[in-house]
Amino acid sequence: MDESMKDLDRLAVLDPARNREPSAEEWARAEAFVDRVVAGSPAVSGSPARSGSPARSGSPAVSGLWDRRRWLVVGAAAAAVGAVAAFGVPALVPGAAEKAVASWTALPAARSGAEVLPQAKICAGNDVGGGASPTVNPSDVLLAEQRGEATLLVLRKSNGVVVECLGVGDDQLASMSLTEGTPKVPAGTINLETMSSLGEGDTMWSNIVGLAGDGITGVEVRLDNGKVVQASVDNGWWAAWWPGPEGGEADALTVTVTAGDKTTSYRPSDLP
Amino acid sequence: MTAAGAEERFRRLHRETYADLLRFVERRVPADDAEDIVSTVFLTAWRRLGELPEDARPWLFAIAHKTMANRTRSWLRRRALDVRLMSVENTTAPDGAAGTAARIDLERAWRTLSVADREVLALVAFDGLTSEQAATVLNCRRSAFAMRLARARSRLQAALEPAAPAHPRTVKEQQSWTKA
Repeated sequence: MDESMKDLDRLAVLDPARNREPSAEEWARAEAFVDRVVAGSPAVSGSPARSGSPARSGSPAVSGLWDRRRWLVVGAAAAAVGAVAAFGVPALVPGAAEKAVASWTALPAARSGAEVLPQAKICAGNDVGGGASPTVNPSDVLLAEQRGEATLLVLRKSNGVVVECLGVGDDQLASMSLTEGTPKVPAGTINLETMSSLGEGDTMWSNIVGLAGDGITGVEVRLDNGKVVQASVDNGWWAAWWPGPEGGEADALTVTVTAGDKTTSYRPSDLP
Repeated sequence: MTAAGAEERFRRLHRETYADLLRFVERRVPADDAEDIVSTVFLTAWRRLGELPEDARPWLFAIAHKTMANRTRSWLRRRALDVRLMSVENTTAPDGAAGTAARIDLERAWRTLSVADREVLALVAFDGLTSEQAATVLNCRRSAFAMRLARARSRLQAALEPAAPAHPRTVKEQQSWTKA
């Protein structure tokens, strides 16, 4: 600590990691992890980073680690993939992810609650968010979009929990709870509830979802690789998904929000 | 850099920074989650080894900070990453009742601060970073960090002064961690 900061010494008693040293078991696990990392893939060479400008995490493997807690894989293959997930490797219903990724479109088609009622019933029927809903009405669907063969839903369950589901036909890829009640953000603004990625290799995909205040007319996700994804906006929510790892990385995209004639761009870390 | 050289550098980096990074993360998220985050950071470091600056510790902390901030949104739907406190129940007071009282005052003052103030103070007081290193973690200019730190120290001091007038700042309760 700088000499001039000595007045902060007294704060040391509040430090939750004061005198914390890794145990022998923690060291052993950490070193085993290092062994796996160096055995698994080569380091990437490059020019030294500018001081004060940390690089983004940019590997699919990082994304896989990052998000394994969020999405729950549901549906017919849940038991099988659950066994895989116990090792921390996200998995999807075989075949469905490939179909979703292969048919993906940057521009979504909006769907009404009535149009996606079969998928909504499947989404509401899983245990994500505290339990299955006994009944589902079109009005429970807060946002629904179609990209190729995949349907993305933001749905309010009968217990008040809002969940997100992604599926292909009757096959659900994944589902996760987002929030409870009816949260709102100020007019003309958005927030970021979450973004994440799931899967591996060619079938890795990312999602991003948040609340949208009144007056928001469009949200666009611009990936750092140049790909542009139009998000869906409906009933106070905005959402998008795309093939790739960026949702599991730190600020690997920009979110551009349009409210009337005003357009504002944010890095995810700048969004509330 | 040869493959052997890269591996040697990475292993040395890990040996030298693992404990510090684990502490940095555990100050902000529950211990159960810390190892996973630390692994994520080192995996990132391996993949971008050629980009690491000579003083890699702030770089690693910055990656960890980003990772935690992103996860915090998802897990808790909180609006900001916050520094945790050592709970009173888990501490001993070697200097007796007076020390305990001082600690309680300090903790009370800490809780009146904003999340942002707590973070800049923690980076220096807990994590032991210089202003330049802390600025790297928060991805801001050193001068901006120095200003934020000075203000945070001033507010902490004001909150600790018994004769200070009633503080208008809303007391922020420490939120408890739960699994989403």
